[in-house]
Amino acid sequence: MDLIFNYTPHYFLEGYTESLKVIQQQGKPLLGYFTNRIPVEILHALNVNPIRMLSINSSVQGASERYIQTFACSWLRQIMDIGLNKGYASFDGLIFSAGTCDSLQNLSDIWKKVFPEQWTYNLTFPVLTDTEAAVEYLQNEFDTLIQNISQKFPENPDGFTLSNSIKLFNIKRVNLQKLASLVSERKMRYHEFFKLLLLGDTLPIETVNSYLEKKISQNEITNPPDIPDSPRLLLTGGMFDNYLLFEHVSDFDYLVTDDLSFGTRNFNFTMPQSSFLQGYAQAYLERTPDPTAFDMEKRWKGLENSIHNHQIDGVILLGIKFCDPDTFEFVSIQNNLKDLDIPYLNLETSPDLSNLQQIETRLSAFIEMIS
Amino acid sequence: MSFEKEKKRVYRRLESLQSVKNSQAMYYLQSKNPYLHDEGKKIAWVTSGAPVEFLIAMDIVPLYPEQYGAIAGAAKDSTRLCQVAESHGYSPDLCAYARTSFGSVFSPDPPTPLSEIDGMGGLARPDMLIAGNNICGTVLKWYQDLSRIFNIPLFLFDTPPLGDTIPNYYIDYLTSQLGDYIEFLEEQMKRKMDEETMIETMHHSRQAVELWTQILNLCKNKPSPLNCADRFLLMAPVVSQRGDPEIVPVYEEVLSEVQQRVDEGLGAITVPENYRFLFDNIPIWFNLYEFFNSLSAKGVVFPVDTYTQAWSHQLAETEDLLRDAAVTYSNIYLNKTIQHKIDLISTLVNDYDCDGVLFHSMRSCKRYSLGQPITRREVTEKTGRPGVIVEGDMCDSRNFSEEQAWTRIEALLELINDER
Ligand code: SF4
Ligand code: SF4
Repeated sequence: MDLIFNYTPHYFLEGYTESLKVIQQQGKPLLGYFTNRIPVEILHALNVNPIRMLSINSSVQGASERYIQTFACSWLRQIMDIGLNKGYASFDGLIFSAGTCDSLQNLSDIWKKVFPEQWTYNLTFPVLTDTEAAVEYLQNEFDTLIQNISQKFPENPDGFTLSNSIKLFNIKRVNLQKLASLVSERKMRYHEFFKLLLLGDTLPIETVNSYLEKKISQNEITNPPDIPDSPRLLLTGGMFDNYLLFEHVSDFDYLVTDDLSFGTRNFNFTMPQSSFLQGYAQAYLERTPDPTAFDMEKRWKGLENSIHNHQIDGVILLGIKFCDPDTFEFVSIQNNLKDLDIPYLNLETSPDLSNLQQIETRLSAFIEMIS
Repeated sequence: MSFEKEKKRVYRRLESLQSVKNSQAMYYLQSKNPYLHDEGKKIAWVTSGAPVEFLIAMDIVPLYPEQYGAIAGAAKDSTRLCQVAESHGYSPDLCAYARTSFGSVFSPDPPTPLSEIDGMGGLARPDMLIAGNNICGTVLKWYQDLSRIFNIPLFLFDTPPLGDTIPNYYIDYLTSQLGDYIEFLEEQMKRKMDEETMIETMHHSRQAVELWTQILNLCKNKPSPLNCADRFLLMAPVVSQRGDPEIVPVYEEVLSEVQQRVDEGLGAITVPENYRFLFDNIPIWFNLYEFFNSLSAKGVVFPVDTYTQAWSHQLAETEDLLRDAAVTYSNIYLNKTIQHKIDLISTLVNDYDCDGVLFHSMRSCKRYSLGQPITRREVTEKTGRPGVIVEGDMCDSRNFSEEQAWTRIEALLELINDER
């Protein structure tokens, strides 16, 4: 069970696709998923390992062009490239989030065509987040998911105990919240934290929890590293996952918090510990929305609070090339930031970090400007 | 074989097109009536897949920013408007309909006029917004921003994408929203919806759709009485005025002229019909006439396309109006799987006896375009007819290379010739 203690975190991230094989050897079926909306607790209670898809470390690029045009979201194209390189062959199945963005919607169909042998499932989300009908719809979707997974992977010796799984994932979230405070207090660098976030989604939950606890105690006893005090930056964006960007560009050390799909939006809540699906569905819809949901105002409120609570001096908007939802919301976010008189920098990249140099230069100029 | 731009018109003139144009001009003129609000009416900007009959039944004039995009595109003004939107922070990678619409709102210069009798340009300012995400996710963000810009209410009709089956709880979700939709409209109009008027509007909508479907079906004849560009222009009322009784006689007139062409063996073009193709996606509005006319000169006709077929679905008719509308408005081409697209295109290719398929890979529209390489291969496998993908855009001329398009189409024609 103590996978990560035998290897370094880098082993798992740098060799992500290899790591999947190691996890698979534990025996539970591996289910890959794409967005932070997937009900990981339900999957865990069904005795499968939910592992989030990462786009890092692709050695093959461009193979996807045969199936999906170049103006598709660059994150998904990279995922497709990795898939074509058999990078996700260890997954026993994939869960797509339907009803989110157009690129992902089409990719789910394309994937089925290109990898017909791999089991896939579309979990469809409502974009409304605040109506009873949406809660009921999502509850039914979760119910149908449970039926389908139990049929496909029937082995579940402990039975379906959702509340136990919720407890485990809540522990992870609380631990991440503690680590996030260390970042805000400048006791941990953002890039180290970001790697833990990725590990938190790509390792079995039991392993993650022990590991994060160890990390927290380590950081509490060691002296804080030499991290610059100001300016204090916030990073907002979508499904960006390439931690190498934060490792390579040292100015990202100025980050004290984020609003990313792999980041804060994934752990700044806890789920009610009940076994009732209705409450569970409702809690899912009440979370800080992603740009794919119909609730820009709620997302902005979260951002505004974060700016206030973390005493933010500047905001970095990190877009993924051809991600429409983020590209759209950035316009409103920029307008709101202007109203608040908060300086911001709009950056765009793709998972292969082809413009790393440019990002470095622009970020450094921005920091100089606001310092 | 090599392509040259054909300047001489090889299109047969369709007299009834003028009635369609007049009907649209009147509709736009009425939307700019300065006494419109005094007459108890309001204006809504709506997406092309939104349930428009409810608006018409409530005396709300629906205006379509997407249709405006097409008008601005055809007037070759959309790229300029896109650039205006870009100067306000909208990325050039976003849908050009959305950018054209933002551009028309922000433009310091008059936006494109809606018709020959429209002096002001641009759509009349909306009182409310109605978006349906049954066509794409883009409209969600686009309309959210419009709501912020105009500071007016927005109703979103959420229709999650369909899989192979439609579960009951899915229809429940949509039906419940349609109830909320009526409440929203009643609140905006400060009056109750009249059930009789609603039933009548649905009836008129069915009539228009039925006529439109008959017109499309007549294109199965050889030669095809209509070409792509004809249908793209003729479809305007069934998109925007569906439910309005005034468009019924307009389509009756079109149907009768098209039927007459069939009876007399007259095709859409004045040269012999050599190749029949299916066109997939939205047309290149800024190049509409040049593109199809030059192809027509080579005897290439498009008796069918996936875009105008989208308005050929009848509203279901049972005792439960809201459930019927829920089924109809979710069961939409763009809200379905790629497998559905492959099956539909293959059926249409066979039904309209096409020699091949021209896929317009449109940078603006991810939902319509992504996956076309697979669709092309599978349609060919299923029908034995080849296809070609041409890259372009419906409104942003910066994303279209005419030479590249001609080269690919030329290669397709050569392939077909070799096999003949
Ligand atoms: S939300 Fe953006 S980054 Fe995520 S899959 Fe969709 S387009 Fe790609
Ligand atoms: S993204 Fe496509 S479907 Fe959506 S509004 Fe633009 S052109 Fe229409």
